[in-house]
Amino acid sequence: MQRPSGGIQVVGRRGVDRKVEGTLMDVHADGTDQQQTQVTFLRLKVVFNSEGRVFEVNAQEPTKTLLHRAAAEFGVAGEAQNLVLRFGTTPLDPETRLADFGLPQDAELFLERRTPPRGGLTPRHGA
Amino acid sequence: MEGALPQGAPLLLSGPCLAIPRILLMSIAERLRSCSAGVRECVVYIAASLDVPDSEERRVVASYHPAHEASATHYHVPLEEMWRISEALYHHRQRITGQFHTHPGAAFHSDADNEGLFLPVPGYLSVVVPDFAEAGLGNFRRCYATRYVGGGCWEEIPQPDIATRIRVDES
Repeated sequence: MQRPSGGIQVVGRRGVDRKVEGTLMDVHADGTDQQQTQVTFLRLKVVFNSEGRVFEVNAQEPTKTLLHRAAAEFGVAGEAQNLVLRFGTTPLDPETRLADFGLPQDAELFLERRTPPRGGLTPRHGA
Repeated sequence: MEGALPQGAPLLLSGPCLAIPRILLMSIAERLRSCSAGVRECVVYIAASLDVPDSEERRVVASYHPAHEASATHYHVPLEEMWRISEALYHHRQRITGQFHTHPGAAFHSDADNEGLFLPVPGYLSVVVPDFAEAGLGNFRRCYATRYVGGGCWEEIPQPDIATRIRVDES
């Protein structure tokens, strides 16, 4: 078997309103072994401060890609380092892939602060 | 205010940035006073409706008093409570537009206050109420108010202007 260009071949197509699955072929150099991994395109709704937007996402991309897209879409791109995506009660680790979370089709994610809201009598800058 | 305004920041206008019904403001003041009980900080979030087009003046339609941990010098809202409020907002088509919280003495914005707002949304208004809100919110006397403009920058509202920038509706 010939080695595909770049070592991978993606079969499938993007879906606008439904999940479409393809196959990622990883063929080793000797052509004797291959491993298949599902590639999934998801249509996810991200809710920030109660406003919801729909994003089409390649689930193989790191979650932080969606997080940054959403932060930019909601006009808080500069705050992305303080935000996290939540599915139900589970915060999604930005460094892993959406595919690793087993999200259902048309899942609803919440874009939230990474840390709890708080206040207190800490010193002010320059004080 | 620290640093230059970020691109896309709301304009710094002198007119009202928030309108709130008096009955709701009185309810918030009483909640702050009773929860603080003279010994601990308290926070109440205010919400605007998503069904009203955004404008420079945001109208408050609801308030949320979160379950929180507090002492005389801090408050802390657990993540689970923040999520519960977020989902309630989503279902009621509201969004948090600011907060009131108490201090034991003088009102000002600490580093924790700057960094601990509910959401980093430009236009978010924060009002600090002194003396655990024992004196209420009448005319915002001795209160401190500031508005987040994005990128870590805040617009401080001069004390004499607070009652102008926050319009209290009798209806």
